[in-house]
Amino acid sequence: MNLKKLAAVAAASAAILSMNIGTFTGFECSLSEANAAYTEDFDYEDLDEIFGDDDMNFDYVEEYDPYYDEAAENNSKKDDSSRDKTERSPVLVFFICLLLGMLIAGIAVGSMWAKLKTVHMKSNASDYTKPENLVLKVNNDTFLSKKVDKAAIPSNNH
Amino acid sequence: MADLIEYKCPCCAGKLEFNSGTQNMKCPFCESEFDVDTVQQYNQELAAASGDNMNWESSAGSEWNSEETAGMSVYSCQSCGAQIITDNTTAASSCPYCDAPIVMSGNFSGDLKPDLVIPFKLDKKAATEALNKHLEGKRLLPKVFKEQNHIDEIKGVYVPVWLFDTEADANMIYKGEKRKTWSDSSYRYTEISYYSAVREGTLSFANVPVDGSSKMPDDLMESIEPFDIKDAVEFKTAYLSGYLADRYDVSAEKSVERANQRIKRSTEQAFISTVQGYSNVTTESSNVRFNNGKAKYALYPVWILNTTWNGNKYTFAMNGQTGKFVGDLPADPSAAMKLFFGITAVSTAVLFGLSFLFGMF
Repeated sequence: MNLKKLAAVAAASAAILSMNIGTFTGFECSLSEANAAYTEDFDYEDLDEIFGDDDMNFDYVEEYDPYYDEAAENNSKKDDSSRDKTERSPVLVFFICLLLGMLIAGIAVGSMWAKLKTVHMKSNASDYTKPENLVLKVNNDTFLSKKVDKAAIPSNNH
Repeated sequence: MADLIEYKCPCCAGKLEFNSGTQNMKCPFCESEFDVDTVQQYNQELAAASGDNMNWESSAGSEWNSEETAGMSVYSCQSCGAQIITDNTTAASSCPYCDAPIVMSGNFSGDLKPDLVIPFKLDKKAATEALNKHLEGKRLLPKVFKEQNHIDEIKGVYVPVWLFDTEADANMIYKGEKRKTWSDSSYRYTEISYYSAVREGTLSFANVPVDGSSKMPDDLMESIEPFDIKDAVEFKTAYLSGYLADRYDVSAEKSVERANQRIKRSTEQAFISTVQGYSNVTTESSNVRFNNGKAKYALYPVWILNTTWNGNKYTFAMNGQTGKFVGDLPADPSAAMKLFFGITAVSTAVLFGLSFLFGMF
């Protein structure tokens, strides 16, 4: 392959990477901006009309309040972790692809290098005999013993 | 005091003890149990195994007569010491091994007359074409190797070889294991059955060649094997016309060690291939003896080319009978680096594109 073409493809891959990083960070910025706009427009004075002075409603909210707080806390953690994963993964994936690329290149260049070496000592004389030349006078297999090992399967207790 | 008899455990080689409870022999180390008769037979087989015995009759070659040697000349290489023989009608100007100039040192005399010769079947043109084909498709090869003026220096040389015939008698004892695994809800079970496999037999070999010239690299000569002995004829000096012949300087006695190694290895491989049906086979005892060993002296045809690059000498050889061409080629490190980085860049781009398409992030 033309080396100029290889260099062009390498430059294109670097360009794709930089665009992808920009795309994902831009997407997250737009999400957080949308959330901020929604909360700014919401009129919190309407809350009294929604919930009123009804004691029953107040008791209902109070009863389920701890679970609501816990759910809200879990949701915020989930949002944080997914936001972190999206930020790291293009770079991590690129480095994994780079390592795999280096491995593929190493194998390819290694096989080309090996083709240059064709001189080797012979390990045996199989070219100067034939399998039918083998005459077996004794061919015995004798059972000696048997043993059984057992290993406990670890149980996973949740 | 009577000698103590000790029986070895076939599994771990520990000392077996008689277990009065089970009336069997038991190993206190690996807790394997064996029938008494089985253990006795196994230990007798091991004790009967003796060492290798590789003896040869070495009566290769014959005497020259004066008419044969009258038309032959000897050339000496001042650089590597090679002694090249050819007939009086062939002019030799450079050494086939080191390319240095050679001078005629006299008429040929002494030495053994070869028993056999395989005449050249392929000419210089075929050797040139084979060299060009050998250089093709080698991306890491420096371009200097493809220059035409190097190719003309190919020389046809008869290389002296010792040919060994023998029958190899082998007594082999192997230990085989069969494994079976299963599990239930609580445990994973592994059952290992141990077997002793005995093989005795004979394997015959014919015309195993060993290079008889110290100037011809042994690995180069073995790389262009095999030669087909069916084309071998009784030696006549006429076959030397137009070609060079190397004088042997490694005796049959010194060459036999190499033949022993190759024949023993082949014998061991052939016998272990008969032990089948086991998940693991190990050799407990190996005993190889050679019978009816004979040596012959022959000349084998080889096309040889020498070239030098960056201060290093490179030798190529082609089997003058079958056309097999070998020779280590140098690699261009800068070309290798460029290819490495280029392939890395392309592979990385392709893999990254694929991972993006498959939504891995």
